[in-house]
Amino acid sequence: MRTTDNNGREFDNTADDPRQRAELVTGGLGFADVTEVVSNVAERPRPPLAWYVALAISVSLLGVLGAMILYLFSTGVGVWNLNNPVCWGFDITNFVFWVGIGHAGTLISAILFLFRQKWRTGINRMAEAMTIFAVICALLFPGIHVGRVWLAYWMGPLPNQMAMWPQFRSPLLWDVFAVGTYFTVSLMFWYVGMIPDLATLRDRARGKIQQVAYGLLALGWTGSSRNWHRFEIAYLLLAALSTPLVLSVHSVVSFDFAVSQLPGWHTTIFPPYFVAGAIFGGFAMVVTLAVPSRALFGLKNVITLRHLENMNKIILVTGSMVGYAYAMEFFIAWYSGNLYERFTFMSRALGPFAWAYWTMIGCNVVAPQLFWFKFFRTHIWAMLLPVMCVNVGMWFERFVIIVTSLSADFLPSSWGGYYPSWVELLTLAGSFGLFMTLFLLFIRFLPSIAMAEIKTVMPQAEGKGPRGFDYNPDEYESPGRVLATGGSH
Amino acid sequence: MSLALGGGFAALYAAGIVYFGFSPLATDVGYMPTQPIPYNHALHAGILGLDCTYCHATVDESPHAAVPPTQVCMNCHTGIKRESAEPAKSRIAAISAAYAASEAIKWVKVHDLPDYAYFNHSAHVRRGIGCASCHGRVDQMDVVYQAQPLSMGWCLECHREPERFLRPLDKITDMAYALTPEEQLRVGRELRQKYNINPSQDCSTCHR
Amino acid sequence: MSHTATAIDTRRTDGASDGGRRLHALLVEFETPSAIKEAARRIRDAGFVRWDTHTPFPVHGIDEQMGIQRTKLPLLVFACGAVGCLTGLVLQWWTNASNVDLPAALNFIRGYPFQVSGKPFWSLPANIPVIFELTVLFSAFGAVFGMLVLNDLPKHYNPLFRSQRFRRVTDDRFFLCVETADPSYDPQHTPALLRSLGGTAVEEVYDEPTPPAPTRIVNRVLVVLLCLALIPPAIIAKARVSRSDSPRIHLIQDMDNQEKFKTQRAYPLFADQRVMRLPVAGAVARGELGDDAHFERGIVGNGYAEQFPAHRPEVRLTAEFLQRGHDKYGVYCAPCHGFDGSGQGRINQRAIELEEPAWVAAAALTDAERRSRPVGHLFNTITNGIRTMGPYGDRISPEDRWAIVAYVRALQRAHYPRAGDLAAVENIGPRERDGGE
Repeated sequence: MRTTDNNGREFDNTADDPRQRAELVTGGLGFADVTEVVSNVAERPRPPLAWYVALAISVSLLGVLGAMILYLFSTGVGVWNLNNPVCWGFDITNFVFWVGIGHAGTLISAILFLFRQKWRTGINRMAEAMTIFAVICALLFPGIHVGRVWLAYWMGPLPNQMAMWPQFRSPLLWDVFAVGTYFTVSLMFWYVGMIPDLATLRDRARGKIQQVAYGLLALGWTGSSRNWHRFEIAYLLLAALSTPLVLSVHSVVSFDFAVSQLPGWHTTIFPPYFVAGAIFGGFAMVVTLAVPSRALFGLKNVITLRHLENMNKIILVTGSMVGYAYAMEFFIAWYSGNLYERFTFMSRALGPFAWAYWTMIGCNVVAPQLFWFKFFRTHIWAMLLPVMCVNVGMWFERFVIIVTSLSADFLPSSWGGYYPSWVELLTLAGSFGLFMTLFLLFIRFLPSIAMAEIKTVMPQAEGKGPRGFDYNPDEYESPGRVLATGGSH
Repeated sequence: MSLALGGGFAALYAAGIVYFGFSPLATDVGYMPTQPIPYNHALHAGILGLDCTYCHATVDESPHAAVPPTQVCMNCHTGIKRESAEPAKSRIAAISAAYAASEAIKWVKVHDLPDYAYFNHSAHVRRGIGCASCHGRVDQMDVVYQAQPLSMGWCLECHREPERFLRPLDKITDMAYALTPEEQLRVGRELRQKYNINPSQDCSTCHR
Repeated sequence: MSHTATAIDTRRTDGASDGGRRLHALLVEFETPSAIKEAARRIRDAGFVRWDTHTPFPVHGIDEQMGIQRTKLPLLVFACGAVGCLTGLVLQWWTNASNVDLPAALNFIRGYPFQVSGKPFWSLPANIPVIFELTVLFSAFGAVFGMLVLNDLPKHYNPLFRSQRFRRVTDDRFFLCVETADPSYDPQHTPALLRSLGGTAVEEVYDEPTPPAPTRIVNRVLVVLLCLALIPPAIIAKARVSRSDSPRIHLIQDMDNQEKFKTQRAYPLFADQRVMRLPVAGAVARGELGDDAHFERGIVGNGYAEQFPAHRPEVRLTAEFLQRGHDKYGVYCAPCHGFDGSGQGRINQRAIELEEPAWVAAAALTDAERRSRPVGHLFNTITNGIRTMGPYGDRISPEDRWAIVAYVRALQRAHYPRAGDLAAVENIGPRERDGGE
């Protein structure tokens, strides 16, 4: 697919011909150019107008979120339309949705790192930031969903005047530990990776405030090789720790449902199905964020079309896995012979929430199939169609799981409907405001691309010219050595 | 290094503030509300030796230890009208006036559990928990104040080891009753066996 | 870039101070990763110890060239992970499954096994997720903080930051730095060696003995903060030792005060504001019909009952019944009538001390007049009061009143024994005589 870079030159880095290796950084950039291109985002005196417009919208939504939360706290959870039997609605749907979004960031930063997928360097910082902000949005909902945020300390094992402890036998408490650990580890992973790039911004900063702020954050990093050595080991270990962690987080989230006995929830397929869905939805969000970011801030040479295409391929794969899980749920419902299980699934497809179910199927299973075609994978506007479908579809997946099962369980006399109140709708919209505000501030003020990591995958790092290949036979001379130095190569 | 030390100190400091400052010993104990009429427990229960149940008569039969009706005051104060203490304003006159007008005196509740905790006085005083264990030496208080935390953790202390507090049934209202810790444990164990005391620690014992 | 641009003045490279400045290190700048790798090998071979290379990204293979030992960080991370695993295990067992007696002061961290949904207190499968998460969490802390501590970070002051040239180390330049504190450092030969490495520039980096201005500001801020930090403990200490009529501090009221009717609470709906209401006029509660005049009022026919209402099961003239009478007498009667029935109770004494004009002295219950009264009369006096004595009918149940009457009779008998009573006392053993009340 031929396209043009920032300098108007034609190039093709989405080639599928194995003899023709793709460049990870296009435009013939050198080390200093990478520094310049990335730092420029934070250093330019004024971001593009579109950034201001987006920030204005996001901050307004954030204000709406604040107002809705204040209203919730001051009045009580009655402002949401939750009641028996649907006692979880938008709150937990949003929680699972946002936690899931976060998973793509960890997948890119940790799992692709362990698999030595060099192309991750262009997008990993942004994806990790997305993880942090998505998990912040996610943590918000369980935090407020009982309407008494001041009792949040009950979730931690803190000695108190009640002599009470958390109840460790409940999956809801596992959630606290899983999501809390996930947030903490992701934050550390993100920050540690950012230290060298913060040092770059520190060393280039001209204003006093920037010098002090970036200086404090960079912790006095000097790029010492002795420091790099431990840094790379620590980074590798964090990646190795994050990989099982990210798999555990959505598994534990799925336990919230799977450990209960409600038909439609009580299934063993939930953990892998949730994890696949989380990665699926998360990648869609990364693409959604990367497309405007690279266009607005002139990062097309570092977040190249090939990066987007690779992510679209992952969306296709995980989307198919999710589709398989949907089919398997139905199969097991039929095969189990369990009356309640069968009814629940028939009700999902044909009952009062069928509109939500078929929205989910259309968005999550049908739309990603477009990515079988290279045209959709490599054309910005064409890829946005399935990607936006997935963003919507993955929210509906959680909604369908939570609401259909709760609304019609074993006892027909206790069935009930659910529709969100205006407060719930605005809270959902507001959570996007929180997410986007944080992301826009990140893009503007922090190194949104991992400069130091990109430099390691550039041909110049191995003493070659700017048109070298990303495959470097030297690397494989001593496999043990590659492991020891962490493998940002 | 200094950062780590500073961080450690800050964490210890915060933990100390929370431990000492958020404890009911700081926030609750010592609550001494001003009553509409300054009734003196030290005089009535201490010097005159009135039994607790003379006024709080329902304590051994009901969950609630009733504040006595004004008429109970009048049992004595129809005849006794002189103030012993200095204040010029007559406390007894105020009682008499309220009685004559059939008006309730709005005594302020000192020992007030949250409304979601269900406490039964009769269950405790009939099974060997003395008044002073929870209310302190009321016979020495001119103005009654909250002497104990009344927190859940404090309740559990006794529910877990009642032998540390049990006393014979004829000593329930005895304010001065006290044994050495060893003696108390010995007597407490005997009484626990005798009264078959097995306090529940389930949630629904107190939160229904 | 030419070497002459940064020609070294050897007179100042001897580590001596120069106007308070001290030569800290020599920097050599390179433009490519391969150049610095070659230079690193030569410096290592020259036997230097206190030296380092600084690069914008981890240069592949430079660790061997510099002879860097593999870090022990993974072992530290493993240890942290093991501690995390153990913490998860012990934490859950201690809090949810253990019930170990602790000293009272430690009661707030005692385990509390409480029943939920019939789940076992301790069941490993349910505890695995938290154990796993804590293992990962502690390991990650070990990796991050271990890396920072081993790297001597954060270290916001570093003499290298005084070099303008060194700022490109985070961009596209590669530096080799030899500290003057190195034992192999030689003011004559080392600069020459560094110049021969083929770098694009060699530069001296000086340190200054005085701490930079930010340190002084930070110290002042710290002192102020420490002083401010004394205020909360002072407030807490005062709250813990003093008494106050200001309300208890429950920042979050939640359901502390619910809108429900509780005994003896006020409720503004009613004129008298009492939440406890009287029964509708004419209503009779179960068991309170009042149709047993003998038992409930002490009246038989038109006069006071001469006998106890023996037809009622509650009234049995046993030692237990007398004991109950004794207890209730002690609470309700003794304050005025005295424990011995002499009429010299503490209240009576006080009224006489105060010379109360309206006080009618409490009667001696053992005098001839009271001894001659029928039990029904005594019962009626307790129930309805007499002269300045208030009525106790609403505070003492009928059977307790009968018990008091029985005890009063016993008191009277004790004061005026009949012939033969003493003989009966003689007959009981010394133990009962001493122990009895």
